[in-house]
Amino acid sequence: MIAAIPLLPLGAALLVGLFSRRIGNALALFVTCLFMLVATALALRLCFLVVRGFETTLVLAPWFSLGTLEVAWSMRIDTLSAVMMAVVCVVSTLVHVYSAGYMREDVSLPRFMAYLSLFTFFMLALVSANDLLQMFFGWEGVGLASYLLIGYWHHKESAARAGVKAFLVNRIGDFGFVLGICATYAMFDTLVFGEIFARVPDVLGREFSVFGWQIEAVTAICLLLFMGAMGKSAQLGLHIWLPDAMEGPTPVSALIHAATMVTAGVFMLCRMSGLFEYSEDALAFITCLGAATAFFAATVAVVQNDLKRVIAYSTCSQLGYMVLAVGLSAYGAAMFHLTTHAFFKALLFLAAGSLIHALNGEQDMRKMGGLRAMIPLTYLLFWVGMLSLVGIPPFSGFYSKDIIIEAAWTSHTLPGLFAFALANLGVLLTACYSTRMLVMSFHHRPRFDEQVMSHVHESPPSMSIPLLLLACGALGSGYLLKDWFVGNGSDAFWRGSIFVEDYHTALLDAHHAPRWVKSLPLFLGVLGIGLGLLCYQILTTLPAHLARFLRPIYRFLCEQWYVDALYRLLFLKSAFALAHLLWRGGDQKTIDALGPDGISNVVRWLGGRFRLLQSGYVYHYVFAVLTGVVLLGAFAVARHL
Amino acid sequence: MLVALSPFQLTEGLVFFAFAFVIVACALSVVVVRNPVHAVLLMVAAFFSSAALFIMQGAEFLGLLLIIVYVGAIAVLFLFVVMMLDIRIVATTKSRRKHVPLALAVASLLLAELAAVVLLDTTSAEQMVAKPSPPAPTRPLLDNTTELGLLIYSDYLVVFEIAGLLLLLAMLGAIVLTHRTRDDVARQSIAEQKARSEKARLVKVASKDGV
Amino acid sequence: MSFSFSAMLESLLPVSLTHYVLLSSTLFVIGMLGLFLNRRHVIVILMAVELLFLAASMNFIAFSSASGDLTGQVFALFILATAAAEVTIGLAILVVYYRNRASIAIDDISDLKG
Repeated sequence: MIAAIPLLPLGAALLVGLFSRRIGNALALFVTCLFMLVATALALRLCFLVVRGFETTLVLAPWFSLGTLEVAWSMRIDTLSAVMMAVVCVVSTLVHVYSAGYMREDVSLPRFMAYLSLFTFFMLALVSANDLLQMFFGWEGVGLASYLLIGYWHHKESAARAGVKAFLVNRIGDFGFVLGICATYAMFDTLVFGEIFARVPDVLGREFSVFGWQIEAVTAICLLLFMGAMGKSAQLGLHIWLPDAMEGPTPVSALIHAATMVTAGVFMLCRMSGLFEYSEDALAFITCLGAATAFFAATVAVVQNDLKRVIAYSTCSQLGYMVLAVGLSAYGAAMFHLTTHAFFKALLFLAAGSLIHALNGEQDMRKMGGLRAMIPLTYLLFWVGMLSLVGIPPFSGFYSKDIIIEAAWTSHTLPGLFAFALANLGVLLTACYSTRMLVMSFHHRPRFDEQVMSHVHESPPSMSIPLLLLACGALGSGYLLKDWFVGNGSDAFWRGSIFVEDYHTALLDAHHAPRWVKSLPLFLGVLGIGLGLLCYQILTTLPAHLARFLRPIYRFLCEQWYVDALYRLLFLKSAFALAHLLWRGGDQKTIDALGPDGISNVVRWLGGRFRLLQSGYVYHYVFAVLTGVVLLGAFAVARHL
Repeated sequence: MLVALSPFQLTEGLVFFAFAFVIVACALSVVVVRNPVHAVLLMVAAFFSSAALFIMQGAEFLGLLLIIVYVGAIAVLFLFVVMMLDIRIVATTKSRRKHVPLALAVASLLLAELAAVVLLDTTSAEQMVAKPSPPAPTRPLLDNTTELGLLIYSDYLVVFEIAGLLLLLAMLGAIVLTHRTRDDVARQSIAEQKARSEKARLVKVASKDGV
Repeated sequence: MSFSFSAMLESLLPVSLTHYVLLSSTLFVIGMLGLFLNRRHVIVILMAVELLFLAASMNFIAFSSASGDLTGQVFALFILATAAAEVTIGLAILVVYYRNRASIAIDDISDLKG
């Protein structure tokens, strides 16, 4: 029954994907949504069972065995995976249903639904993995599905490029992940999570020697694994694929690039908590990088004009919060924020999708405005998502984000304080850009033409019902889940699935943080909203003046801190130069010139020579015959001499 | 050293050389002359002389056959074609000079071979022929034509029939190749006439029922 | 040195098999020459082929009469038949070719040029 949770989406994907040309749109929708609904019901039931104390490890089938390495298809059912499976299934199902409305007019809808289901299968395989290898299988699988879905509109060149970019950038992270897996096997002689954690004490103190540089084995493994998480969870440095991934259809952005796949990195860090807890250096690094990402993405989001890109940078920023929570050993808080974020970010994305749907595909916020009265439901849901994102009580984001910021203060470490400062700044900026987004999209007068105006409509029920459900999640999940995830009952809730060293007390102390620490994020959030309203609702000329006045900073933000430009300069140019050299010099002038082209040229040249023999004149042929006879005669005479 | 020659041998020699000269001269002319009609006539002369030499060697039937077939039939065929085709006498303009070295090389090689054969091989042509001449005939020899006929219709019957078939095929082939339907000549085509008539119509007749 | 016609003639006589073989060789070479020196008409090539056949038959008959075996003459007969067939077909092709191309000049015939 448990195995059916990942297998149902796989079945739907195979059924619909393999027969995508035969199966009609309606049947494809029915099959995928039905299978997902059943899987979700099972996952929720499993989640309740696990909360009551159920725990198991299922071995489904052997995968391969290589020397001492035995790998099996298995499912580790504990709180961590059960929560993740529930979140993935719920959001995925809602997105499936939402797609029925959003993609209704798409010509290859069955393919789309098959990809979505395939993604869900891989994601479930990832979160239920009992060893690093199966996790890597799911990890690569969701990467593949992400590539397929980003480039779903493959006839659009920018979409195809964005898919390739996402794939390639993720390869860099995955390279680190693979090295981490290899190093783990080298050190621990196993890839199963439980066994790894049990053997950590034996490995402590051992070192890797890299180019004569000694590095502690556990720290090295942690950093390599974190590199994988950086790629998948779009942390600063490897984040560049996420904004471009918005080329995919909006339901995809909601499911993959907001709620589930990008959080796989955070999930992996939580799953490996038994290892990360032993490396202070790695944790400090994770804290700093997460905080930097949270701040960086928030700054960039302030100046973006594309609605989906704003939300994408917002996602990047929120992932930074989760990662910094992991760095503070506040795994429960990371998972808490992951869960609430899944709801309110999916809500925001899908509401944005509804908005884009209403405007016939327009994504530029400068061409929106005035939609408040035309699509009130979407407007309302947008408010819910936005307040949740900013962290205003009682919306869910308030509970999860605040606990992270408080933990950053109570960790009383230098990285913790750094994270505290950046996280608070991030809250302010988050409030600013969220308000900006909302005001630009819905307030003021419409800035689109009559033709679009006549099309504006509220979304069909297949889109609005998932939105309403997600809004309930965004409203209630924070308050309902806070005791389980981070509160007093959290130890009993997580049981063994998350391991925290006794002296990492940041999360426990967070509840006793000073009053000003607790109220600072809320204050900053309200201040940010106020600032946003001031700039965009009341003094609408102020942003332009600011941009002119702070021109260098504005440019800096518009160019996304020049990360893309830097990469282009450092890696792309040299890679293209090298590729060009290998193409021209290596392939064309060496392999082709000596290989196929060379042979064909020789044959052509010989053919050109031999062709002259075939003159077509009878007397030439007769002369050739005569010459042959004479030569034969010469041979005969020579033999008798 | 002279050997005394009988008058018969002397006459035979003179006749042989006379005909041989005619053959060689005519053959050369056939190859060289520009007018194809002249070439055909010269070829007839060469064949005529050859027929004479055949008869001199006792092959009377073949000699006469040569005259009848070649002079009577093939030469006429040639003439007929030559005149029918209205061939212009074309002067060749292409220079042959560049081929001379190659031709000289092949020719000198051939000459060297022939010289080698003549100089090195002392066996004469007569010696090469199995000398203990044919086994004693079991019956008196008849004339050439009859003997030939006896041979053809016994030992070589199948080959002879195949040769006849070959000639038949050649005739059919020539007809098929050169025959053409001409539009400017009136011909009767019964099928077309029937098809053109309006009164005639196609009736589907049920099987085993009749009309 | 005395030179007389009769002396020369006597040195060449009596007529033997060698004479006929030499004569047929000469004829063959002339036919061969005609094949590839000829640059005018295909019809002359056909005639040259006839000369080649003639040379071959002459050889057969010469050896046949020298050895007293009639088989040689039988084969000369077959050669005659073959030659007749060949020339019939050859001329027919020539007529068709002329009908299509209005020329049988050898230099024009190079359709098989590579």
